[in-house]
Amino acid sequence: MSTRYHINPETGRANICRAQVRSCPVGGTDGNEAPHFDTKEEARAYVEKQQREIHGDYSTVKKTTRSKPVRASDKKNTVYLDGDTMHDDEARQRLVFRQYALKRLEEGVSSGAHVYEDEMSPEMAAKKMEKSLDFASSRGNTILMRRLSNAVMMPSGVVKSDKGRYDANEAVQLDVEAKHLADQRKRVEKGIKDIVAKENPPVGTYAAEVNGTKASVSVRQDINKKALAELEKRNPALYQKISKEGNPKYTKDSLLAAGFTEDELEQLKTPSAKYDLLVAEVPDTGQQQIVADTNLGDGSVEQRLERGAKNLASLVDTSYQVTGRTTKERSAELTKQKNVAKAAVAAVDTEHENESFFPARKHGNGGLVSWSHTASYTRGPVEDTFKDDARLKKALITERSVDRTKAEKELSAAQFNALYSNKAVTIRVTEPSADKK
Amino acid sequence: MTINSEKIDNILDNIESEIGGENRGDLIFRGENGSEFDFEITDDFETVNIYHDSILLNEVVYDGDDLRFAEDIIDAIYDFLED
Repeated sequence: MSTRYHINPETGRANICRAQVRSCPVGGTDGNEAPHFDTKEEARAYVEKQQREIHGDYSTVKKTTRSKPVRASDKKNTVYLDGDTMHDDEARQRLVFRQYALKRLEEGVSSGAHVYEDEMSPEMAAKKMEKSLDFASSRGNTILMRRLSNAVMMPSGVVKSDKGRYDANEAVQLDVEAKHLADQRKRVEKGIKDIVAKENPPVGTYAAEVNGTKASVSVRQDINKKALAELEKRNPALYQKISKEGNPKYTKDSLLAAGFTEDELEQLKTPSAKYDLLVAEVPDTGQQQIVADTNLGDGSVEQRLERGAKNLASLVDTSYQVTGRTTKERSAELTKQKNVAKAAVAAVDTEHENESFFPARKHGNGGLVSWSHTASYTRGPVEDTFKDDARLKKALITERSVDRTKAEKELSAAQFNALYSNKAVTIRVTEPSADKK
Repeated sequence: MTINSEKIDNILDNIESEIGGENRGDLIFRGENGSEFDFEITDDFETVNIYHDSILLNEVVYDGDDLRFAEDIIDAIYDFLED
C-alpha cells in the first residue's frame, strides 16, 4: 500500500496515515472519510488553504526571501499581537508562529518519561519564542525563522530523565565555552600548519608544557599524491606490491552505477536527531581572558614550532583556569546534556518531523533539536534493505591504499623518499585530569 | 598483551564499513561530521590515546580481549561521530 497523508485535526499537521486494515481514525464529516493526500506537500497546501479561508491571507509566513534585516524602528504600524487587528506582515507572521508554538507546548507536556522543571506559562512561552524570532529576524536569517516557525516549544528549558538533566542555559554556556576555545585553538594551529606546508621542517616532535598541560607538534613524512598517481600509472605491478586492498564497501555512486535509482536509495534514509544552539545573547564565559597567542616568534623553524606548542598548551591551561573545566569534562557534560534533550524530543515527536525548541533563561537563547534524514551506505543497512538483490554484487567496490611497511620494503630509498616527499603534522594536547591540576 | 598499529587500523576499517566515516591511514580517522580522531599508541604498547580534534579525550587500555578493545574504541568515539 502506498504512503498517504492525512491532517491531524488536533494539531493541523500533515502526518502519514498508517490505517491499513480498518478505516482511518482521523475520520471526517458527515460519515465521509477525512481527505487524504499522496504527498505531504499536498496535505500542507490543503491546511494552508483552509487556514486562509478561516483567518484570511497570511501567506507571508512562507515568504522567506527577505534579505534586509528588520529593525524595530522600521515598523511603522501599530501591532496588536493579541487582538484581531494586524497591520504589519511581520506581526501576522509572529502571531501564527506563536499560536503554533503554544499548541505544540501543550503536546510537549504529554511525555511521561521526562520531567520538566519550571514549566512555562503559555504567555512566557510566547514571549520567549518571539524573542528568538526577533533575533533571527534582526539577522535577516530566514532559514532560522523558518525553523523556529515549525518549532515545538518544549514545556521548559530544563528536563530530567534517568539519563541525566538537560538545562538549556547550562548547555548554552558549555557550548559557547567549547566553541570559543576551539576557535582560538584553530588560530594557533593554522600558524603551525602554515609553517609545515610552506617551510618543509625536519621530521620530529616539538613539545611544550604549561602547568601540566602538554602540547606537541609532530611532523612526519606523508604521501605525495602526484608521485603516487605517477607510480600507479607507470608501474602498476609495483603499485600492487606496495598497496593493500581496503574493505569492500558501497558508495552512493557505486550503487547508482550498479543500477539502483535515487528513489530506491531513499529507503536508506533514517532520521536522527540533531542538536543546535540558538544564541542571541552570548554569555560571558571569560572569552576576554582566553585569547590565543598567535605570535610564533622569528626564530628557526624548529623554535617556531616549539613556540606554537607552548602557545597551545598555555591557551588550553588558561581555559581551565578561567572556566574551571577541562576540555574532556566540558565535552562529556555537553554530550550528556544533548543526549537528554534529543531523547526528550524523540519521546514526543515520534514521526521525526518538527524542530523542538528548549528556551534558555536569557530570552532568545536556547537549544533547537531537529531531525535530519540521512542515508547510510555502510554494508549493514544497504544489505538489509536490498536483501539478495543481484545488483549489490556489482555495487560492492574496494579501494587500494599504500601500506607504508610494504613501501619501505619494496621501494629503494630514493623511490620511497620521492613517494613520501610531503610533510604532515599531528597536533596533540593533553590536559591533566582536574584533580591533578 | 600489546597493541600494534595494524590492530587499530583494522578496527578503524571496521568502523568505516559499519558506522561510516573514513579511515585515512596513519591512525587517523575522520567522522562523517568532519571531526578528526588521531590514535596514539603509548610507549608501553598497552594503551591507545584517542585525540579528538587534537585534544586528548580518551585512553583505552588493551587487556588482550580484541573484541572488547574494539568496542571500547567505538564507545569512546561514538558520541562524537553522531553530532
